[in-house]
Amino acid sequence: MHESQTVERLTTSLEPPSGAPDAKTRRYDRQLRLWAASGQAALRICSHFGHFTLLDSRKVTGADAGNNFFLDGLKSVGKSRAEEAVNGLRELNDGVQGVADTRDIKQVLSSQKDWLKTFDVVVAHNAHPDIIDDLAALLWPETHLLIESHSETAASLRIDKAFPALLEYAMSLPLDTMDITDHAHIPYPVILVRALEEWRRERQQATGAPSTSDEKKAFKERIRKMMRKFDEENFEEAEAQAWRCWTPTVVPSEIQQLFTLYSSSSSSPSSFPALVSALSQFAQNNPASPQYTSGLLPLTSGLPDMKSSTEAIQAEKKVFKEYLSKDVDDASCGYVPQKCACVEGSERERVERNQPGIKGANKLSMQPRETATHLALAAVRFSVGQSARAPSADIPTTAAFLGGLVAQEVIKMITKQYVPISAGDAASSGDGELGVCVVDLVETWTGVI
Amino acid sequence: MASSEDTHDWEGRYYHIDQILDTPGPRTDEAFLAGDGVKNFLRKEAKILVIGAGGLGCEILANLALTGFKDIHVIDMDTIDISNLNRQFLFRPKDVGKSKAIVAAEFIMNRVPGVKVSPYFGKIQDKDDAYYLQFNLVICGLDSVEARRWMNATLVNLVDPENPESLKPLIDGGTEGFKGQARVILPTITSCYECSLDMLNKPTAFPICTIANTPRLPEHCIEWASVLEWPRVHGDKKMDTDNPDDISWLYSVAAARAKEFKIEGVTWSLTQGVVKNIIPAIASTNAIIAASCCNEAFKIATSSAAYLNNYFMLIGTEGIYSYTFEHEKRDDCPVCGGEALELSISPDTTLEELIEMLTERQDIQIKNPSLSTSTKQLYLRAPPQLEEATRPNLQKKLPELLGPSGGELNVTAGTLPFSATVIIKFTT
Repeated sequence: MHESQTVERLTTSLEPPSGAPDAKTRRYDRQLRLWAASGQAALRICSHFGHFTLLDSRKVTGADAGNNFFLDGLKSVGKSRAEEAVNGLRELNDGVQGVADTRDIKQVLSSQKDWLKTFDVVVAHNAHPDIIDDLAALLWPETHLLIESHSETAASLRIDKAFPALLEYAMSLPLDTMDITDHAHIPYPVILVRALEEWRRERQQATGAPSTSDEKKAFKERIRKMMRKFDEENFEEAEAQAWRCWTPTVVPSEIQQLFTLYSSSSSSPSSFPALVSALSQFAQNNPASPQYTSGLLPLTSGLPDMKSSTEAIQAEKKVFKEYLSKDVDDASCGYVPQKCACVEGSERERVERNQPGIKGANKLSMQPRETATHLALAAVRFSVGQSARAPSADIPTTAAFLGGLVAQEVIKMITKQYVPISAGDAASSGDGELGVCVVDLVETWTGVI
Repeated sequence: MASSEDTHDWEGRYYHIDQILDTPGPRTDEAFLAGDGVKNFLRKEAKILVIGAGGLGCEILANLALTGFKDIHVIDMDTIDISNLNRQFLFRPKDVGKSKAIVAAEFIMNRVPGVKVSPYFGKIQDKDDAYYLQFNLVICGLDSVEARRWMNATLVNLVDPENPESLKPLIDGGTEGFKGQARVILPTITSCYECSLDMLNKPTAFPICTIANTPRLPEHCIEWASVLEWPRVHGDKKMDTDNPDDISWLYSVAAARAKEFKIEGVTWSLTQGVVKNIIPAIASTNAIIAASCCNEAFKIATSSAAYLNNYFMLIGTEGIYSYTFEHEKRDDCPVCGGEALELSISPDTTLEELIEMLTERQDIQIKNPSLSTSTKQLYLRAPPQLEEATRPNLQKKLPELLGPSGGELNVTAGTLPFSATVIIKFTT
């Protein structure tokens, strides 16, 4: 009883321990865990999710009513397909506005092209190839930009090019005399920076790292010898992570390509090109490390978990954090042109914190519209054999499978998180290939060509 | 034409599906009875069971109904929560608190005329073999590993080599965020769910000393609150992870701990996520995986096309990547393998340590096992008298119980309907 009161007293003195989340947050809980508030806001703001328009000029046939879960069976037959489906869909979420539009797409393409451009995403399906071509031509110049890729590869810790404060911190630790418990809790990046710097000093060189396999082996042995007890896990971790010393920190090729892509686009009203250009200039004149004239991006904010004590990790995080905020200031204040002062703080932060995860691509393989239309095209031709057998069959499971794939791509594009189809290839192949996903639901596989 | 006598059907209702059912394709099995034969079977005879009426279950039920299955059964023990509404599209805010199985069944029957959906609001374990024997196939859309293992083992046990009807194909779907998998299991013929247990991600377990002494992550603080502080403060009172007050308590204790250690990132939502082990879920991934499961069900039920052999894995986080492969049957699978599992261990191992090993090994994961040899009981969980009588064995070393050269052990698996034979050999 006494104990629990202590805890309660302790907890009431905290900043408002905001209780259970509101109903809206609870409703979207399982997806917020994937893309957080920033992604959810993008979905809401985007007219497509706060609002969608279904364009279809045809009437519901018996076949449609048997095939579409959001039509009301026989009751819908003969009525407008757009209106009937919107009624069914609207029921799903009263926070979303749905509008039925019964115009013909051909008519819209010939006389009201600009209306199509007001949408964030246009998904065309089972449309005639001529229509797809017209849509593609109309919606072509858009570029998709991805800010948070949720990459599963580790961020660079910049061990080979340690920033001065980290280097100074690593060299200041009295390894042989410090408390043995503290010694066993030095975070591994600090150990690596220290070992590499000592290695360089012995060779009287300011840069470089072990390169031959003998040198690398000897370097690992050196880390092992720094242990003062046999079971210091942080040193074992450092040994396992020693590759970071000889993996040069460079600007990833995707980001290099973004730099080229945006080098001449300073007139763009959008904030993203300005941020990319600022990053590019930062990389060319990194003031924090004058000995390296180019090739470094601002530090990322994430540190992987590592064996350490709370204090030691805090000390390291502090060193990283102070440096990070300086990097962010340098990148944004120093290089973002004055006219782009409209760049929102939060977006700026998102871009800078995630920059190794930024991917961008040009032209059609990253076209939301293109991808979606071509995905849908694949639905029609889902396999040569099947289409010969059932030339006009739109099987519910195939439709649901492709609908799911298209929806996943649309979500990735609108939230600007995760990587849409063929994003990786798109940047390197320029205006080469399309991102077309082919699906075979006989043997059940997918492929991207 | 075949179904024109069904009062619910209208002209053109099955226009799309019938194109597949009227003509064989280039990869169609010879047994395919194009035309009325297959349509009658699908729409009048086939009986299909869906386990789970959640994210996958809702999509599965809708797909099956549209595809033409008319006798569908669904089991789910859960009630509807507000966090289901972002993707479980058969439920509305007014349904919160009601049975998922019942609400889903009613919705489907209203929307797709002529389809009968029979719900059961309860556990799969409540039903016996006779119940499961009535179905042609079973589709699982579950988020629980234990429920899948139970269903898998039950269907494997059901197979009687004398009776081909006793083999019930099992189609299993699962999703997590943008990733998912669908697989076809032919019990005793292809690899089963238990065969692939080692493909599951190992749950992250934080060492207790880290939680107690050197927290570095927000998760460490939350574990401290739930694993150490909750029992210390609340004694025997069980934590209810569905109760927002309990989560709030954990959150404030974890937040205080985090503040003390200057750790950032403890939030209410993270607290709930860690203690409930919440898996992120979105509608689009469920749509893909459910469609894939139902597509397999349709192909198997109608023999209209070849079916998946036997594992489809989708990774949608970077582009659309999928991998289709044949997962191989394990000869020493405790459920379908038939061969005993061999373990080489040190003769210093105690029975208790062996039990811990059986619990933790990725390819076994048998929780709360009871162990016996052909001649004696080594450790039994129940009844209490036997538990007490066999408890002293836990501290004994294995050679003392099995003899100096080891031997065969029978392991029964707590709540799962199977037992494994394990051969213990001693390393020297």
